[in-house]
Amino acid sequence: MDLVQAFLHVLSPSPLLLLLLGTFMGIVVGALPGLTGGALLALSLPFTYRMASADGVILMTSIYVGGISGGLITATLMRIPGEPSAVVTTLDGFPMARGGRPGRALGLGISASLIGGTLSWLALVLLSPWMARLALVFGPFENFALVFMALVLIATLSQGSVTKGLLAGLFGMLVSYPGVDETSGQLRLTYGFDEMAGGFSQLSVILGAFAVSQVLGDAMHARQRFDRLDPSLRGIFLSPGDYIKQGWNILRSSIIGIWIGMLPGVGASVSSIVAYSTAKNLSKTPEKFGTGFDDGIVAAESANNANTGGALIPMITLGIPGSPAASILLAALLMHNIQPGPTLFTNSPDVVGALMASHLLSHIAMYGMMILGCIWIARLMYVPRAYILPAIMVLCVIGALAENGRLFDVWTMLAFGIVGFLLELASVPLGPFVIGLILAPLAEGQLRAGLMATDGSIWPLFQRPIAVGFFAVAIAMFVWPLWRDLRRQRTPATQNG
Amino acid sequence: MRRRSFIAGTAAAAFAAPGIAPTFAQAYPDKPIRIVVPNPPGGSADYIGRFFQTPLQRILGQPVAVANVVGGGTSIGNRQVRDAAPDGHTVLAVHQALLTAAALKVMDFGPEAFAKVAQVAAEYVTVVVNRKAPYQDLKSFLAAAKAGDLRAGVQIGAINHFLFLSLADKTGVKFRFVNTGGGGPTRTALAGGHVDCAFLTVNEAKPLVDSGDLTIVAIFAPQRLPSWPNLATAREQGTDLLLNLNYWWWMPKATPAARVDRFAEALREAMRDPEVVQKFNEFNMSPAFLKGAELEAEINRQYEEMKALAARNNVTAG
Repeated sequence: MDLVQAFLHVLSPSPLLLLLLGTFMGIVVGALPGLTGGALLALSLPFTYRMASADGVILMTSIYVGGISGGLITATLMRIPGEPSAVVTTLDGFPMARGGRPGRALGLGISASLIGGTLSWLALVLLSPWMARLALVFGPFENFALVFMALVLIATLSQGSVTKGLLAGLFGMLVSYPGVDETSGQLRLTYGFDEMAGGFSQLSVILGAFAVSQVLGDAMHARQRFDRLDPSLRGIFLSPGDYIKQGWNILRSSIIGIWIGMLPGVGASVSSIVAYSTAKNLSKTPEKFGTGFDDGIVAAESANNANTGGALIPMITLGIPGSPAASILLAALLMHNIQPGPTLFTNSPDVVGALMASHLLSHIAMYGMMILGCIWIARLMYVPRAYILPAIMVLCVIGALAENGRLFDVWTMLAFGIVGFLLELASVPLGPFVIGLILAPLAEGQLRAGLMATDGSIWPLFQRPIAVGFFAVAIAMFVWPLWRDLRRQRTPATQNG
Repeated sequence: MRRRSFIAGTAAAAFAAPGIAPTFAQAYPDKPIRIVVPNPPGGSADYIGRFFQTPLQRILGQPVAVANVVGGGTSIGNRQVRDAAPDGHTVLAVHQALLTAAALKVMDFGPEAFAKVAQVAAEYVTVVVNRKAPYQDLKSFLAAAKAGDLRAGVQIGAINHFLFLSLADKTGVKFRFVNTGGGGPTRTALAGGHVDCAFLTVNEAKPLVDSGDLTIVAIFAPQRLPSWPNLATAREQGTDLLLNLNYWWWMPKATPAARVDRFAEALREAMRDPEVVQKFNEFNMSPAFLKGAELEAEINRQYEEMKALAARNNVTAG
């Protein structure tokens, strides 16, 4: 009932204009490497302060959705993720586009984004009211086990060498350590440099490792021209058969996206990495991943959009944002003195309604805009790279600087650009690196908080059924691909013999 | 025309040099003002920056921008203002987080590295417990804390940690600290029974008090809040202790005194702005204007107290 009214409100002229504007701007900054939806959210925060709270929420939600979605454009057409969340979209999107099917690659990504987002909207609407209750059961140990489940994927995610994957994961963890140790409030690994007190900004590191390293790599082949591509956008609309074939993949990837989305402070990038590697692990044809395979694009793009709905659930029910972008949305609510919690639904139904309605409607607006815009967007592939690469570098520098207004973050980004470039050369996978970077601080903080509560004893961790359940799943996820590979290696051997 | 304005500009620039500036105080501010908030958006230091942004813009006649410079337990933003040009165009909106970071030696400088402009508000804090706990008032809560070791949800080294240290110091009880973070995650851990007590602001506690999950055992204010009259103070429950967050505005140390004072007076005027008055009410913040020597003394008193608390409880960084 309230939700119907909320939809009607969002569809009335001026909120609708805000929604379309927000979605459009979100897609644009999302597509531009360096500039992220999160940065645009932070920039628009002061404007929402003077708006009616429901309108502010509409604008910010639509920027959030647009930003996450726009990232796939440059990821697919140029192999440079416009958003950190589109990192794994490059793996299959780019080979497919380059193989002559840019329309199909974009179409798969855009449709998967819409469906993933819609599924997460259902979760947001149906689960939020009692999620608040359920989430209270989760103490530090449960949260640790939940994060541990995702952390285990480092091992299974490595394309090629497991050793290199583990090393990359550990390196990511190491990069997350310098700065203030949240659990003791004291500095660690800063080597006496004042600037290091803030640690390495996650955004700068990811921008460097994925965008700057790609620019460096491309610059070495700047003169190389792409083969004549099929300029038509054939395949941008998926057939019903496609949807049926991808149904289970979309559902699974969306559930993963929602789950990761609900973890505090973990953004959409981890969602898509986890969904992609799960799809690959469960696939009958894992070798096709990375060559321009439908399933890879679909898994990545449905998961990162599903993350948005997931991240909003703990934000409105507990006041704990599930992603960095959601934390800026939370700030906008708090500035209007709208305190999230179980009472939010009764105290500010208009705000909750506006949030939910605009989450779904901005997904629909995003789908329309991106499908229509593809005709122009796809031409990006024909612009000589010599013109594009410097512009991307400039955008990356602006993006890194905009986050905190510190030049140190720019240096961090450039340094990790070189690091990422070298890792690529050594064919060390970057996915595990990002997982280690983002999840290690969370795992560490939760585990140490749990240990503080039990006065240092680890045993209570194994006496809590939910935590033990998550550990069991984690072990299964770790063992399954190893066992599968082993079996596969054995089968052809017996056939030959 | 063009030449004349050029000359005027040079003259202004020449006289704006430190030392000469005080006589030309009316030339200040002559460019946009940057408010640095060393916390992420959505914290109380951030609110203060934004509440005052528009009124200050009107009073000072220059654009005012709020920038969140985050990291290092507020030390990154604090350092940026300390090292900024001391011309009164960069201001730090801060609360006790700067003092705790300095007391823990996370930063190698403290309040002495700044010119203190003004204090605008005090926000009294509350001790909150789970509604299911056997203690629902301050006396029985402290009795329980004395008997066993209650788990207190704090962010280690942050102001909510020091608030517990002050309470423990005053009443002779001890807490087991669990690092749950800021207001949002801490109140969730409290409602879920993962910790036993927490210091929260009235606004942070309210949603979960209304929903029947949490109880405020005491507010550490001099008298009851007009907006919530049945909330008992600690003083009337036998613990004579006032605990609050204070919101301060600081500038780089060498900023000319006349500019510091001009900004302080602008803040005093902004506090009468109906919008600021309304926001203070809404957020249960009490207006508390201080400037000059009085402010300096108050900050130093709090800083010395925190250093002593940190040393006594062995939370000082090595």
